[in-house]
Amino acid sequence: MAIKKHEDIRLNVKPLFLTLYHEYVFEGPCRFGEGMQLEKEFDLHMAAEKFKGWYAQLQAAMPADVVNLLEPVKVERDEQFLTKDEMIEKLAEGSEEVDLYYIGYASRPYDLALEFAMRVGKPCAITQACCASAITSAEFLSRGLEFYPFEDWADATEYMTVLRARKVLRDSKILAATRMTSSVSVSAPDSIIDPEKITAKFGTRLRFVSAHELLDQISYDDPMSNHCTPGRAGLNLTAEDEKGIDQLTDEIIDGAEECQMTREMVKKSVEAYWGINKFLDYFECNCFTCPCPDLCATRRLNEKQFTMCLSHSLNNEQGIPSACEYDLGALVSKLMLQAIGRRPSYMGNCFTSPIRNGVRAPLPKALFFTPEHVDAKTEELGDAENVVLTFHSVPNRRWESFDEVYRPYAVREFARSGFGATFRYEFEADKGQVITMCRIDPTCEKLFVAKGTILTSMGYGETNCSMGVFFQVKNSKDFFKKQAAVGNHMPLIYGDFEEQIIELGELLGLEIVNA
Amino acid sequence: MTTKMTLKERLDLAALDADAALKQLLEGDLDRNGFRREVRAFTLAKFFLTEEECAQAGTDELLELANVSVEKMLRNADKSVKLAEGSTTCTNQSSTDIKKVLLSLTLQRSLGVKFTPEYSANLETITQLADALFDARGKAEFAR
Repeated sequence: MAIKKHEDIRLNVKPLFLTLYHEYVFEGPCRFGEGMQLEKEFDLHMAAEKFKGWYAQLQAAMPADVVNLLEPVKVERDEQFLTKDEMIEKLAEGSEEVDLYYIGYASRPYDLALEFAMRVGKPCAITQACCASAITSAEFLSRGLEFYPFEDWADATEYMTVLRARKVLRDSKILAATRMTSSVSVSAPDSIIDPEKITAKFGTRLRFVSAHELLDQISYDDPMSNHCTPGRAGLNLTAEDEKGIDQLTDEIIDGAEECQMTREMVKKSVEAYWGINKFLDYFECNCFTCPCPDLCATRRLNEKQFTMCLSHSLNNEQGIPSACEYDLGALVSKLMLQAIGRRPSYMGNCFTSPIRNGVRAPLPKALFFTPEHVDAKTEELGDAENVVLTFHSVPNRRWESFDEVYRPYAVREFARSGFGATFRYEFEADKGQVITMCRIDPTCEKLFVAKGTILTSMGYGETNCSMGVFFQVKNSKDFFKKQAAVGNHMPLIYGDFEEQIIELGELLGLEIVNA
Repeated sequence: MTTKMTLKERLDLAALDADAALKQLLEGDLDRNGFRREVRAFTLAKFFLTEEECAQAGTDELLELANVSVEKMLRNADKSVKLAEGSTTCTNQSSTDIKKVLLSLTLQRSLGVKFTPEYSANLETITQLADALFDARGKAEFAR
């Protein structure tokens, strides 16, 4: 499998410990004592004790599921303060693998650290130590070097998640299935206008594939006879694939509290997921998006009897950010949320439900929701203020990690005629759960971030694109005004990760819009 | 009327205890347990701690005992002696590290043994230090 899972990515941190020892016995402004304390052997033993204590703190602060702590490198220098090439070369060994150098000192070789950092050009960090940390941070930052000083080890622990998330974005490749354009889709023109900015700003690469070629090859047809690529071997489904598809289909149906669809129709959606993953594997991608209405209009989804909904849900559950409607802005936002939260994300159409003059603004009774269901939910919400609804048809069965046991779910169709498997989830079971949401704006310059608390579901018993979650925010009017510039779909994850998402946005050079 | 001893006087007595323990280490025909006993006595004397205080601290770890020692010295400080063994350089070194290193190096030098800084740093308890010194005596690779 060539799908590089984000969960396997670690931040490579190399401990770098620099020592100053004294060759000669003397006292002076920065050195005083008597007897043994002025000898070289004492200095070196003190440095060893200092390193041991510091390294133990560093190890405890670097969680193994975030950081790959590399072997420490140590250099000692005497009071001539002379930096030799061999010192820099020793420190720089293996630097191509390093994402962050973590600096510790015994005494004051600050210039050595600076010269090294300027040579290798990698980010460095330090935890507060009297004199040393402020000297180092100022000498680095004033010269434009990337440097992270932490007041306390706990701050370092938290920020490693943010730095790792940045690496995840850099290591990500989006499989973007296109139909009308490769920038924004007809249904999500509020997405990122220039996809090249995604690569320029975050390092995330894109691989484009024709949605028609993708649809052709989600079939058991002869791989040499696909319509769009005649005579070229395709990634068509095989008899071997069908065994896995059958197994997954049965698992999904058997694990559901209710399944309203025929097995045949569920299987068609699973075939879509399987085919998409073959493309992800071949293209070495770990994120996915595909247009919906744009593709719907070709009538091919109707012909094939599947929608993309189940594929997105299953991808997200497996740690592959997957977004509806070719919304690249939502996809990159999901990637950020999943990289920070280490859990699946959801996305949907997002709008506020304000109360004005004691009356709640009507929820849409057409297209997605039945009038009866709307009335019931309106009554359930009562006079709750600052309510927001996010709804689509791509919920997950797990919300707090990528290996959580599946929570109760149902399976219902998207299309009234019975195709297009979607999961349904009762968000009211998680009433009171804090959620974090974010969305990048179309210019790829701003990041909207907000938190909410789950109230209840919308659409569990319904079909179509109607699976929603009502949640309360600090101020829905503020939320609405700030959302206006970033777009409709609002990705979210369970848990309070607002601070770290903001830190990630700042690290990536985005202007934070916090509602 | 009893006169309370000054801190200096008490430290001087402790120094005599340390000297006595060191004499045993150098001249006594000690087995491992005996060696451990005298290293312990030397350590407690140098750290100005009693067995009861060690038991109360509930640890054999040198850095933790050094910390208890520093706290005791601060509590008992009077003007009879200058307390600080010194932060010997303007380099953010801890008093506990200094105590441990001075202890270890004093014993190493007295016994004609030389450990690398890293090896010394990994000797975390009185027993580990005692065993390392006991095993290193007379071995060429540890000769000073």
